[in-house]
Amino acid sequence: MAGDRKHKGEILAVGGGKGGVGKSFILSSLGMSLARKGKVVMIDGDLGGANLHNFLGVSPPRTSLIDFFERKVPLSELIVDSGIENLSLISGMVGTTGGENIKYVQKKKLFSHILSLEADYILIDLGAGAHFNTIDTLLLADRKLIVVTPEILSIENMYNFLRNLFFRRLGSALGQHGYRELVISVWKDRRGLGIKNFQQLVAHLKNISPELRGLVDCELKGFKIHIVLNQAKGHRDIMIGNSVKSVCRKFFGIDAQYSGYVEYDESVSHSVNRRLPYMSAFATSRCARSINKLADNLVSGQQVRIVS
Amino acid sequence: MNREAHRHHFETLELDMKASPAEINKAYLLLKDIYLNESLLNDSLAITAMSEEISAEDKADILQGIEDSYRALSEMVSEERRAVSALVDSLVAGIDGFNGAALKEIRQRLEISLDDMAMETRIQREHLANIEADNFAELPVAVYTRGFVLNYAKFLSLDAEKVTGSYMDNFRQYHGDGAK
Repeated sequence: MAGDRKHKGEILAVGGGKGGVGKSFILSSLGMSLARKGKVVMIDGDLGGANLHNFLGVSPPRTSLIDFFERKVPLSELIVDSGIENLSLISGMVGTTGGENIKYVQKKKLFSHILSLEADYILIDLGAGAHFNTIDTLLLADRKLIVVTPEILSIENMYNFLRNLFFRRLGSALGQHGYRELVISVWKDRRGLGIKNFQQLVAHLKNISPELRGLVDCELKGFKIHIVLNQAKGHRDIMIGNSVKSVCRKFFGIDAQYSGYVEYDESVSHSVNRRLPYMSAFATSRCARSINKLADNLVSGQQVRIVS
Repeated sequence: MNREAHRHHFETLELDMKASPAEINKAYLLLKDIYLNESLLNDSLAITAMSEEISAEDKADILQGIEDSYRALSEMVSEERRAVSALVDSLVAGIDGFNGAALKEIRQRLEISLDDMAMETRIQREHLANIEADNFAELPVAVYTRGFVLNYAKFLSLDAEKVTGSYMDNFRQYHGDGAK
């Protein structure tokens, strides 16, 4: 864990390219699992499409992030009970235009409020897509979870998402050294520069100057992601998580961990449709146990053990 | 092998530095499977999703790197094994009878803790301690104790038959020759 953190709780955020890969289900279930270990606050950061409360089986809270942005209510006053011990929720904004118009200052303020929340674990659910507000929130997290399903489109999407994520981070890190424009222009002109893949792009940046080389290496090394494979239907699917991790390490040069997989269970959609919190309704299912294992791995820093 | 090279090989095989020889083998086979990518198994999805960016040369380079690191680590493992077996030979050289104290001495010289041993052999720590203390009264019946001593000896790469024979002579003597 980063040594210079000043905030109390550990921040976990779930992102990923595509909608429907199970981000909200995994985050809400992780929240319920982690609530056995400590105090958990979940934030529905899917601005515009808030639905985390559904996964917990509670009705939409009356207060939400909209009160933070429009009425300047402190974030800590927007926390509502989830009905589950040790677990509370800050709702997103239901049926508004969404978070894409949030101003920089508002975002900064939200981040500083998140960092000062009193909790052992702060879990942030993010919307689909790679809007920079989504990406910045993910970058804020101590543990960045990327959810992927064992399907080629989901994996492709994830790689794209990772590229965006990494370049946003690189842009802001290099920006502090006066290289912001350079990164943006290289990224934009990548076709013209004959850059066909991520590796070549990174190599191009590194070859510009020794200083840039040092900065890029440092950013790549410090960039850690946790891969979570959802809807695993068997050993082969579980192995895909391992291959994705390997590709992330070898082709992106990113410190990728395979932190867990979640077994496929058709009861998940039943329980979501009936607004039952899955982790208590199906507490002993294989799927629920795989989520508990994922939570343990995230806390201990372990990875999926491949047995073949 | 210097530390930097060492770290590099473990990193290439995506292992942490504490990985056991069995884990090194497993990681090698897995990675080879991923990057050979010749089957149409699901496992190759992770590569296929990048197929526009990953050339055949890239894959060949990666495979070569995996192969090199595996060879280097295998060599290191064999060297360690040779060193351990030389040490064991030298420790055993002067021993006639394997009683608990002798076994304990060998274990400690090999820098293996009782806890690690209990975990790896799946024998309760208490039994292991009783073996080393020649605490025959507390050990289970001969057939079980024999099994424990056998695994103990195998774990330390000792001559298991010789150790068990010698240890069980003492055990039977304590219980009277009729003990089973």
